[in-house]
Amino acid sequence: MARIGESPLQSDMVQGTLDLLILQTLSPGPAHGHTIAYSIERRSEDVLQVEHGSLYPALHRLEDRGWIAAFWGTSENNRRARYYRLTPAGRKQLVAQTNRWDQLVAAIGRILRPATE
Amino acid sequence: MSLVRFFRRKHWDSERAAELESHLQIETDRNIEAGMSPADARAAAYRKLGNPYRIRETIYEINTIPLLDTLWRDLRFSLRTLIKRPGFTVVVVLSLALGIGANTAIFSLCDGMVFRPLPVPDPAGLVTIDIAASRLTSYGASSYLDWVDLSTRSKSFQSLSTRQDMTAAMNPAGAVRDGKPQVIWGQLVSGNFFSMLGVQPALGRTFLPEEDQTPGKYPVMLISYSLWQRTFAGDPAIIGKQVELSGHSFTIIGVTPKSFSGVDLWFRPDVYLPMMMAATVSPEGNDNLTHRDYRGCTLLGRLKPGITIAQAQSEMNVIMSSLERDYPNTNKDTAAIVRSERSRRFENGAATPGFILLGLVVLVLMMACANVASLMMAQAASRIREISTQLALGASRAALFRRFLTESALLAVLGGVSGILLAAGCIRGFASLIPYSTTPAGPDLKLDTRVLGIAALASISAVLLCGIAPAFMAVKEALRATTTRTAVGGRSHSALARRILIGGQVALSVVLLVAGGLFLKVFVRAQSADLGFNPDHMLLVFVDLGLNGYKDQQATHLNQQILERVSSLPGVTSATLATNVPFLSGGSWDLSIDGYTSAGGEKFVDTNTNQIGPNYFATMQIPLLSGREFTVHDDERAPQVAVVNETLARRYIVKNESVDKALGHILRLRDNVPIQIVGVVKDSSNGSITDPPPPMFYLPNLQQGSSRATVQLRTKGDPTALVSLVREQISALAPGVTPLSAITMARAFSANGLFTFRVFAILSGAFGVIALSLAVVGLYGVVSFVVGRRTQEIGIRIALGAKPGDVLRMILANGISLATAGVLVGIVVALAAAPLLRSLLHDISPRDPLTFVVIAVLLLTTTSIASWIPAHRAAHVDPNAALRCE
Repeated sequence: MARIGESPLQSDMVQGTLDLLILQTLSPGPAHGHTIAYSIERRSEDVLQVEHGSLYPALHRLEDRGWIAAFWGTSENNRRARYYRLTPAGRKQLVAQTNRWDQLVAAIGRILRPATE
Repeated sequence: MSLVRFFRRKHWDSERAAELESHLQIETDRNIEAGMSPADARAAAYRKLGNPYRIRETIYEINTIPLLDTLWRDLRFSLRTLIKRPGFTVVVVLSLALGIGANTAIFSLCDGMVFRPLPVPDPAGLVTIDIAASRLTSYGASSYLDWVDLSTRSKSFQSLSTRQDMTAAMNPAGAVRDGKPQVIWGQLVSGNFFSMLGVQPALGRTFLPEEDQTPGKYPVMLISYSLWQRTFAGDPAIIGKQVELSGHSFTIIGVTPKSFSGVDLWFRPDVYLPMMMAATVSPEGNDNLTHRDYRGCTLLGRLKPGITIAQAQSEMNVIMSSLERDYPNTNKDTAAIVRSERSRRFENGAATPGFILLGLVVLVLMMACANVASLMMAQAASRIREISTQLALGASRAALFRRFLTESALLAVLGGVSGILLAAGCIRGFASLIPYSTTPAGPDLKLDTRVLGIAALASISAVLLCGIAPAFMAVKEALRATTTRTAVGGRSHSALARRILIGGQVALSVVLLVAGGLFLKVFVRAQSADLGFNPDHMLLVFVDLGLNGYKDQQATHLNQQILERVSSLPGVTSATLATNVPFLSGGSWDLSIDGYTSAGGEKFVDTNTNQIGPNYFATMQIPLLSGREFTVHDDERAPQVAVVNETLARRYIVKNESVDKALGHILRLRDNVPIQIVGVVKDSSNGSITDPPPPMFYLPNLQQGSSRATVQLRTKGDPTALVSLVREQISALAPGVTPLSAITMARAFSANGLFTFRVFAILSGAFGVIALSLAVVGLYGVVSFVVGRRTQEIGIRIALGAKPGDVLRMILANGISLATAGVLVGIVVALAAAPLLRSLLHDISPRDPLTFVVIAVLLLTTTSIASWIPAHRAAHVDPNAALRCE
């Protein structure tokens, strides 16, 4: 039996990272799951290969926390699709997590490449 | 949030399924655009997405709360198991319902009669003061003036209130358009009454201190929530409206809260007036406020923080002795007794009947639990194969245990709910047993949170008692069965445990049946008790002319006229009137007997009295031993006279000599006017069946009467046939006056005199019958089970030549030995425990041999029949069929 919060993503990618990427992808405006997946791949210049299926549990979790909200709309090629948009709480979360990410990266950078006198 | 998700998992899942399908379609479209064939495009989309079912499962699990999920699964499993065994389920739920229902109902009964704390904040802090008229008693009411002195001089009390019951004719026409005049009961209370209690009104306000300072100045009143709903339809604008009480206009200033039903457990007043308004509602009201020997006030207060009852008591002693010095005529030998309200209520064994009933009913619950436990063990034994399979497949012991407990809990909930429904029915039934009263009195029985709490407690203990042991045994035996592969159904601990449980049940039912038998015997004897008067063919009609504004003398005169009118009605052989009626009401006054001083040196003795009309003894059929009874000539112009009963004459005047010597002797009330004894009558019951009649004196109502009277008619035929005729006569004589009510003396005796006897006979009888049925069902079950287990063995025996008679005897012996052991143990326990009931058995021996023998025979017979049925079945086992099974 699975525990709360367990996800197949964990082995591939830090869970919080995917959350951050999704929030960032949604910051210009609403998008559906398919767009989000390709957008992350494209913008990372295909370095981050998202297994499309693993995106959905993450979307579900973010929606459950109230950071994103969903609505049904019509896609570019006239398919019904579930769109997501950032909520105000999600926007706040994006700023906070981006800052934390920057700090983390800076810290790891300092460790890996110590400033030489 | 997650809880909502948990219960909406299905909805979320279908939402995800649609979303994933939409993703696949968009990806497929994209692939087709890129030049793939539709089939390839779809397959590629699936590859890219991954397995949609796996994704949905992941999300479904995110939404799951593991504990709730297993609980839900266990519940569903238990429900399925129970539905598959309807017979077992019904018997178990019924047993539990009987046990829990009986406990809930009895607790509600006892709670309403003695246990329930008063419905005010901090009821435990309430303190009562009794004013005892002599050192022979420790109970009694205070005079208003004594209360004034006690409350102003005392420093121990934060607040000391007084109250007095009252009744009035209310005309609500000023407040409701179609309001009809009605008789209402209430209390005159001191101004600090509600503030002392800490009771906040539901509407309006309570009394201000100045409203209880000057006689007759503030005609204001509070009404009860119930009266507000009943008569004023819950009118939210009731405050400030005027109603008439006994012809005087009163302003409603407040409504008491719904939870507040007064400070007397047995009396629920409908109106509260300031003590200072006493004169408007009672003819002798002003005398109440100004006479130190009019003792009608009940005192209730709260002590200052840190003051103990003992400290308050010693302060009261000082104040009372100074009052005794200042007012020797009225306060000689009086004493104040301070007690906590709670302890006063529980004093003198008042709670003993309640504790006895609760004790008996807990035995019933224990029996029900034993029954259920033994059934569950039988169930578990028959499920050992199923359980061992589950164990073998990897179920954890904890999981199995949990499932067993879930099943017991489910049964307990079902039993508890049906028990509460049963209790609700019983409580309604109890209402018909409550004594007759002309006032809104009697215990208020209800299913409140206290009572429901008891039901829950009973259910929880039932789960613990019935569920744990069988679950434990089943899991243990199943484990052994998996490892040793022994044949299912060999000798086991649970079989022994069941025999002990059933034997215990038989023993408990002996105890309960003995109690039932004893109480039944007491009831039968009480029914035919010699009351000293003849209650048959008597009609009682209650009138209170004071309610219509008649003053004492006028009322006495009019009562006499009413009496003359109804005496001449056809079918009336004799008629009289009296202030009090045995079994319905009573009164006692301080009396001194010339030439008698108590052992403690006191002159006045609190003595039972009644004010009666001419022909009283002839009508009641109480034999006159000496002298004469009162006539119409014993009125206010004639010298004061009295009639005494034999006990009074013997105890205080003539000792062992002829009662004739008491004639001419002088009695005095507190006013010291000589009253000459003109007659001595045989003792008669004054409201008790079992206690010997107390000393009693009678005074003529024409000399000492009040406006309140009960017309008593001895009739030739059915007394109730005369009710409408009597009513007509009264309203013809005094328009506007209607009798308060009318009942027969036989009913008054049956409803009130036999109340406790009937309650105990019915309830303990019912407990006994429940116990007997549970024991019989249990024994039948255990013997059937034995037969079922030994079918193979019996088949072999028959095949080898055993006769049906031998098999019958063998199985019968199995059941009967168990029953006999149970009966013997039960009789020993009952012999030891029965003396606990002594206080309620009166002159019947707690070890009444007849009762014990009858119960033993009854139990042995019924249990033999219960074991005979399966034994008979066993004797006719077809050896072929028996050997082929398994």
